[in-house]
Amino acid sequence: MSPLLAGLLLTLCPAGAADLTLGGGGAWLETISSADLESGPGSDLVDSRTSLADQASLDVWNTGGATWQVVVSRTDAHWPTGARLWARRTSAGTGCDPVSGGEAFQEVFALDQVLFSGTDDCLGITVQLRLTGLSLDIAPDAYLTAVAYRVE
Amino acid sequence: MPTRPLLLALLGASQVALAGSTAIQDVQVTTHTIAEVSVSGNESITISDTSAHVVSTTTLDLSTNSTSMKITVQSDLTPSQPLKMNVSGFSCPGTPAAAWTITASTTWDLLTGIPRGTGNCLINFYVDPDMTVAPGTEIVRLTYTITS
Repeated sequence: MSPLLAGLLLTLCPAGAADLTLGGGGAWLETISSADLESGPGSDLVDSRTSLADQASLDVWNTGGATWQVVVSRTDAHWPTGARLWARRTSAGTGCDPVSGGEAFQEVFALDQVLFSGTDDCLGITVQLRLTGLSLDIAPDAYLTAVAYRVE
Repeated sequence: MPTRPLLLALLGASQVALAGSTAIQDVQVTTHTIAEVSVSGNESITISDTSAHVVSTTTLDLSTNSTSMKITVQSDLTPSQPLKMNVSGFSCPGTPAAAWTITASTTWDLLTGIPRGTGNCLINFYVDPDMTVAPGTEIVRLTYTITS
């Protein structure tokens, strides 16, 4: 193999090109109804809803012992104005040393945001989601967004 | 070995490997129609002289996430009951509540054009004494309904 091809191979397939697998609760389905009024008729909706602590479980593997970070973003298919989505890491998983960051809720935007980082393969890092900005101003409908977790 | 096909093959292999670096999680929020109304409770009105009375005020609370809702009110008054009572409201969202004279089993649009959000109306009950009516107690139930 020529030095040129060897260099290209290392560039395109770096040892640290880790993989990420999503497990846990998977999709988060929330239903808003009159039961979510803060104190019955005359009051607005409770502003926020929080998912299970382990709504998502992320496995980061094939890291080759390298340092990595998980970034998060979202793509709205149909999303209500004023509603905001947040994510946080709720466990450190197993096998990695160490995992850091992401313990406080941070808002998920269309652009990548670093959620947390770590070193080496790491299994079962749990993530919790939160919705805020819920109100009666949101018309009855089904809303959908896709949250993307990416390891780099 | 030609260089170009090999580069394309390497590029393709790299994209396949990187495809495993992203995971997608859907978040779906389904919002049902919310249209709720309540009143603060029962009201008791006592007629003891001939003067006109503004005898009672109650609170009507509402919440809705839909537009152009209305609140209707209906009584269970029967034609044989001698009661004549007026109802009006204020501080309501949307169109100001119209005055309504309760008659037997009629339905009235108390409030229309209610926007999304919350509202706290004050409902006044007025009873004009009628000296031709013998002393007694009359009970009437008013049913408020929020609907599109």
